[in-house]
Amino acid sequence: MAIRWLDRNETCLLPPEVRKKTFKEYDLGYTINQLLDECDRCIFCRDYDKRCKAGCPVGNDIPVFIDHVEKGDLIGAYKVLLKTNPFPAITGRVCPQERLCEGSCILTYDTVRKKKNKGLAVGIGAIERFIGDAIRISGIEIDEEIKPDTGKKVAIIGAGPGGLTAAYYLRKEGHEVHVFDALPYIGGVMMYGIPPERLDRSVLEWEEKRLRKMGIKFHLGVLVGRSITLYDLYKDFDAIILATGSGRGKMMGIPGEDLNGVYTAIEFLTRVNMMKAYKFPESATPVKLGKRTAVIGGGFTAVDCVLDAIRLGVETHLVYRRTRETSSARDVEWDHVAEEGAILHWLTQPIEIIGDENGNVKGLKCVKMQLVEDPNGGRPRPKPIEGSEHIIEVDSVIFAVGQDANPTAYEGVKEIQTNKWNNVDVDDHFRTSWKGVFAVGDLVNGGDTVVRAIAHGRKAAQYCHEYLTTGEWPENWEAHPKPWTL
Amino acid sequence: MATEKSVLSLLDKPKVVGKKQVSPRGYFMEIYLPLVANNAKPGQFVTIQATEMSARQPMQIVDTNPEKGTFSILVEAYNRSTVELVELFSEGEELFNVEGPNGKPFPVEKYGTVLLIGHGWGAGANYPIAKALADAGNEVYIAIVGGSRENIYCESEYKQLFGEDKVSVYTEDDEYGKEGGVVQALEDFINEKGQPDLVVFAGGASHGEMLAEATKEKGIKNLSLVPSLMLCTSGLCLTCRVKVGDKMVMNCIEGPYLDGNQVDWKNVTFRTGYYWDLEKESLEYFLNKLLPKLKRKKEKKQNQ
Ligand SMILES: Cc1cc2nc3c(=O)[nH]c(=O)nc-3n(C[C@H](O)[C@H](O)[C@H](O)COP(=O)(O)OP(=O)(O)OC[C@H]3O[C@@H](n4cnc5c(N)ncnc54)[C@H](O)[C@@H]3O)c2cc1C
Ligand code: SF4
Ligand code: FES
Repeated sequence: MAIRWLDRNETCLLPPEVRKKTFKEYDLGYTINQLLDECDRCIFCRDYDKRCKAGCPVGNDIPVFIDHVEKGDLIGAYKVLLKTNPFPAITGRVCPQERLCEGSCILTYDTVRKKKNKGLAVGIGAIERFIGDAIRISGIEIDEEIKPDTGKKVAIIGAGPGGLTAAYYLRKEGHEVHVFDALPYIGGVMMYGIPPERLDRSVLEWEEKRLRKMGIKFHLGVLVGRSITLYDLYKDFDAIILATGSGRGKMMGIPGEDLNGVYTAIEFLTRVNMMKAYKFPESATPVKLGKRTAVIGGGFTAVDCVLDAIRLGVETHLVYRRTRETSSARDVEWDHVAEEGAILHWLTQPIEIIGDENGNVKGLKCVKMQLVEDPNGGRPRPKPIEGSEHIIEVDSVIFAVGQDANPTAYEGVKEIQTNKWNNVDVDDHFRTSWKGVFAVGDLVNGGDTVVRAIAHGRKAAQYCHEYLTTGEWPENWEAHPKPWTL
Repeated sequence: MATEKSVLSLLDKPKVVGKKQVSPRGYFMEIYLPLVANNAKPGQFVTIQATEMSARQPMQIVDTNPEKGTFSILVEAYNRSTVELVELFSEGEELFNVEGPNGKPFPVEKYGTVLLIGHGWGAGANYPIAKALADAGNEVYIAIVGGSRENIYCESEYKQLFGEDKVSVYTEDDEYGKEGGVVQALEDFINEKGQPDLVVFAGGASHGEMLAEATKEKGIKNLSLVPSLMLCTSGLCLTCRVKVGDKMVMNCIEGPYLDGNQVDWKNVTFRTGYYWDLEKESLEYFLNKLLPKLKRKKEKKQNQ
């Protein structure tokens, strides 16, 4: 049969004019016929473990679930996914697949011969999402196999993807699992960061129900380090998994950051996505961008701020000191926000926020940049162009320039070794320097992806289970030198 | 912060168990949540999100009762969150979420003579600190200040604990007690008893600002509750950032009591005012649209 190199099915998006006015999801996913047709494009590589599977941080058995779909067995496909990933409806939506599984699909790139191929990858993300959604809306409740109670108790701190995944796999082993989070909702960044137009909250709600039904206990509104300490938990539990992320907001240290109308991305997104400021005044939490706003940054988070700001009806400027090609967000995402009316300023570096006489933001002073070769052979570096100062007139500014460590849970706990970024050191089994305490997710690598946190959560659950069963812990614990490769 | 009881035995759903009105807008509310009742230290607060649609409102813990598993807060109902609390909740009703105890405990040490000045709800905030400082061997004096009589709280509680002569009351409209505000309270104290070793303040930012000018000038140590805006109250969002000297401090995890002489009060006052128009709109929406609807719903439920 001829290989279908190029006729990839693309998901249907709401048109820009419609989607920019709603916080509803704009990517509608595959129809059933697209799903079946796309599955037909997979050529079932025998060495798929060196290809799509190797590109997937959780190691999903991609052609195996595709095969189940083709045979008319969505439930079977879902069960294949659950072995490696408890939340396919989430990852199917939020993963940067073009860099992961799809980037290693033979149709687009031959990972074995290390050369580009002429085709477009199988739409793995959209297939995965379909499978998760199909089960979610089918009304079928998949019974999770849970082993008999072991009598062991595990405390998981942080209800983001890393913590939830560890909870899922540890509960399946029969342990009593308690998840603590400071915030009143589960999900971590998936709740307060990633906006509902990219990840509908009904998905998170459904996943929460599943986890509760398995008997996982949630304790929301407990700030470890203040409400209770890690020592309290250490006393009462047989093992602890730290999954508190690395999500503290950050600014640049330029003049004017204490003016009114200056937000970190995390504040802005939390107001809108978690506290539902888009429903103000029915929802009591306000957000106030004025008529025009500037979002500073070039990654995931910047895109999300732009999406939300546009949906609030605000004229939105994106300001980034590098080029579109060198930004870390996906190219199509810039296309999407540009179609929605965002004004993109590339090679533009903010140097000062200008305030009016009342201390409110009235503009963002910037300089234009040019990219110059790095003499050491690194990424080309942006350099200011002399005399290019200009002011973008805006009423508010949102800093999406990265996140810092959030060490409240383990600050001052001398048993836990941290690194120079104040994140937690682990060895190759996700063990921290303190016996019985593991760490996963952004907390370990300083910030990566949902799927990476899920991968950590699953592996750590396995190692934690081994520890609970054998009590073994290494005599000479050593920190992994490159935690971002875990 | 460490507790003798097991963590799991302290976790439960937060519930209002008592509500007592003490002035036209002032209410003491008693909330059941054993974790807070057992673990709270003087100076810590809780964050209350009363309903799914409510904002997250920080509230100082005024008192705790570990045996009953309850703690109390002083609610001066002036914005949407506080009005929601007193209008929608009565005995036995569950709150959507309460996070806490939050914030750094107040540094209870032996300072010598301490004057605690509370403006409005701040008198409640200072209450557990006054007790702890007295227990630590300090000479404790209390000034309760309010715009007018209806903003004077905890007068009898303080007097009972410390004696009449240790407690003075001020109103800015001279309706009750002595006339004057927070600075007057400090100056009178100095005239009578000399300079205190420490001033503790809680209340609105503009009063904190005036008081800090006086303590700075006189060289008196000042620990003040900084009523900054807050959102996540867990050290993520930086909404609560306050300039203290040349440092940026996250008030939700490092405060709420900070070095009052170093705090950039102008910026606090100014930034806390950013949403005033929206807050007004939000309160009006609640009173005119939501509250009647919710009341009708409740009545219907009760009739059934
Ligand atoms: C705006 C934004 C958009 C993103 N978009 C994507 C995307 O599209 N795709 C993708 O793959 N990745 C994305 N990411 C990255 C991804 O969200 C993170 O890598 C992932 O969520 C990390 O998971 P985690 O479990 O380690 O921690 P988090 O999701 O950060 O969860 C940590 C949890 O711990 C809680 N916590 C922290 N400290 C304490 C404490 N002391 N006590 C109690 N609880 C505590 C927090 O409240 C939080 O709920 C995005 C990140 C951001 C900020
Ligand atoms: S690499 Fe692509 S074609 Fe090969 S099995 Fe994986 S998804 Fe199918
Ligand atoms: S309120 Fe979010 S960091 Fe303090």
